[in-house]
Amino acid sequence: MPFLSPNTMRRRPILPLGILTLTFYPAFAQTPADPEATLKQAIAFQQAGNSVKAIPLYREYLKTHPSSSNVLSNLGAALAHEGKYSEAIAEYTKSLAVEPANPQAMANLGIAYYKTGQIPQAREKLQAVLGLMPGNQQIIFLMADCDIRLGDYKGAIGILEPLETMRAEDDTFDYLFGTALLRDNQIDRGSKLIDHILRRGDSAEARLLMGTAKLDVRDYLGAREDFEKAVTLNPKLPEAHAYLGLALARVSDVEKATAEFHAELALDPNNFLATFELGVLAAKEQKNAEARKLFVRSLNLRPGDPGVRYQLASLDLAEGQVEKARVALEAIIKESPDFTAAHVNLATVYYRLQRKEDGDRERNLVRKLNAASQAAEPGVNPSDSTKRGASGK
Amino acid sequence: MIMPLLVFAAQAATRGAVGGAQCGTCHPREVATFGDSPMTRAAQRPADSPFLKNNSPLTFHIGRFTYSVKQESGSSAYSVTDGANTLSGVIGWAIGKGVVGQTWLVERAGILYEGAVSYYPSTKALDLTPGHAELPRNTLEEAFGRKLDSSQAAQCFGCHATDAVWKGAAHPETWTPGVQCWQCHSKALQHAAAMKTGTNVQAARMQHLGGVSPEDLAVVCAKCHPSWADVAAKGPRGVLNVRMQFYRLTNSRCYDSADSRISCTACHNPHGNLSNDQASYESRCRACHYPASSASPKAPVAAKKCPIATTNCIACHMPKVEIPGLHYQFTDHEIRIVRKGDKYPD
Repeated sequence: MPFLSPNTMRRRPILPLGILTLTFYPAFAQTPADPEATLKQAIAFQQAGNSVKAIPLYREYLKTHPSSSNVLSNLGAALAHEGKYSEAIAEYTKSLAVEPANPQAMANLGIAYYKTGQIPQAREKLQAVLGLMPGNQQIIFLMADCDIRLGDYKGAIGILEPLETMRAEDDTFDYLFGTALLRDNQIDRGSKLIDHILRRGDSAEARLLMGTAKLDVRDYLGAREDFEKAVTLNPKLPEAHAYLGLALARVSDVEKATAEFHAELALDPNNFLATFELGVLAAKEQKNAEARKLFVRSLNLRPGDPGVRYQLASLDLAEGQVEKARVALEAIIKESPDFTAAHVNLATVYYRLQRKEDGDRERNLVRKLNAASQAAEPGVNPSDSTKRGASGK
Repeated sequence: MIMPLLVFAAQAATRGAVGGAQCGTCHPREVATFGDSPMTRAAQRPADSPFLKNNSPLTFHIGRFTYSVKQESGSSAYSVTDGANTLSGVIGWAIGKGVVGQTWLVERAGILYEGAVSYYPSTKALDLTPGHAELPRNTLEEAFGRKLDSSQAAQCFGCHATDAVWKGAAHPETWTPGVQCWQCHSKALQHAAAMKTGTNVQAARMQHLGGVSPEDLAVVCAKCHPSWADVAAKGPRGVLNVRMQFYRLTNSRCYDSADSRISCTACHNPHGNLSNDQASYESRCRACHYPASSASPKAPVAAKKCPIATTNCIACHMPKVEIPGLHYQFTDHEIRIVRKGDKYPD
């Protein structure tokens, strides 16, 4: 299940999987054993949506023409149509081995990765497609969607921003760009996109975005109402159940939150947020083995994510693997020096390792980070933090 | 899963029998005074709650809802009505010894709830339970209280009672109100058994908590009192964290993670009642700021002397802070020089 909603997908199909770019062959009578006739039949079946019959015919043709890049790509598309993504990926890869610059095979490979939740691989292939098809907006949208799924909101903004003036009043664009802006804490700009969407009528997408904005300012009850509305308007809107679960978890309704996370995973087994938050709930309940499994899965969905690595390090610490936790936390902090919770755990780690000076240093860093974060809260007079600093705290 | 109330009466208090009495054989002083400890009185049976016994009925109005708490034929009933409909439940557990307040856990239709209203002795009245002002109250069901799932119930009972949590799940039907020896002394049960039989005595030795560093001691206290790490990472921020004493203490300039003169037990006797005698605490301040001279080269260096006074340290350096809605002034454990107009340091 893609991040892009079925509604927006329906309005603007991203990229059909089975683009057939083969030359059409003369329709003169041929024997079934004739490879060209077999191919023609396969294409006809695939165009009619009958991939089940097309697949063996493509395979038959490839026995005599194993290096036909387009046919390999078509076979991949037929397999993908049947949900056999692993086999499809194998065929697309063969196609690209024959013709590395085949944009259709590359795009389809990217989409197959995307569909199977292999987002980093999808992002890489789509980037390559964009090199072959510069300016293709469908590819750009998919890439931005990949960035959002990978938590690289600035990346998504960077890709979408150049389209801002061109794509006025476009649901897909507003939704993607608004999501990226809000998750990057650019609330004012994101809110404008929500207004654009709302002007075109109440929608699940707008509610999801509004709820996201409210989560950012910790208005959990308001966010919950918006997410509930989003789910009512479109129960299949990607991420809506996951975000509703998040808002519910924030108001301690763990039972309902868990149900919503599972509802999201029923729609999209590769949803990062639902997987991760279920791990957080399991960790809170000290179900460490279950939590670890969910965090490892989260890390597969979003490789290198510091939040997930922090959770795994926290589990290590809870289980007494202090040295392992130290190594992980030091690496996280090196990459994300402002990650307060990681500094907190690292202070604890150092104290447990009898490294008092390091522990004290981390604790002081946490104080500074928390003070800076508090000073940045809306409505806080900047002079307050200065005053606190002057008093020696 | 929402907490179902199962009955395992046969298993109740199997460990309680080993409790204070057995520990008291060898540790009579600790056990004798522990009965007065706030931890021992961290929860009560409803029948033993003076607030329920002496104040029935209690009522509270908020919005279109009216709450009522009263004792009826030996049990305590909790109800909320919107004028048209009423939801009622039985108070099964009184949480908190009642210095700040007392919150009730209510059973309704086999489900455990944290009551939306609590009793506050300073006002001798009901008010919203801490944290409930932020919860939705659109329906009678929401107004009734917060449903507790097994893990949430385990958090309540894990710190306010004994023998009510097994394998991470709450079993309130088997509770012993308050904290018992083995909540802090993790090997107490094995130790008691070993001392009784004379076998495995060495293996069942308990950690001497009086000799550990402030940080290591905090790990023990943090089973129930939020640790510095808990609060630093997850909050709360602002005056709400004045209740998180260890977090506040570690923010003090005089806190030293390796100096046992400043730790939870340096000031508070975990086996006794909480002292209200400020002078007893000031002697702890003087231990660092006015230490007796010592010829020992290992004697700790004295901290700065106060230029203003030699007494009344707590009143000046540990101000009282009230959390809105809790009707109580908490002692801020962030020891500091308080200047007029200073914001609460977080």
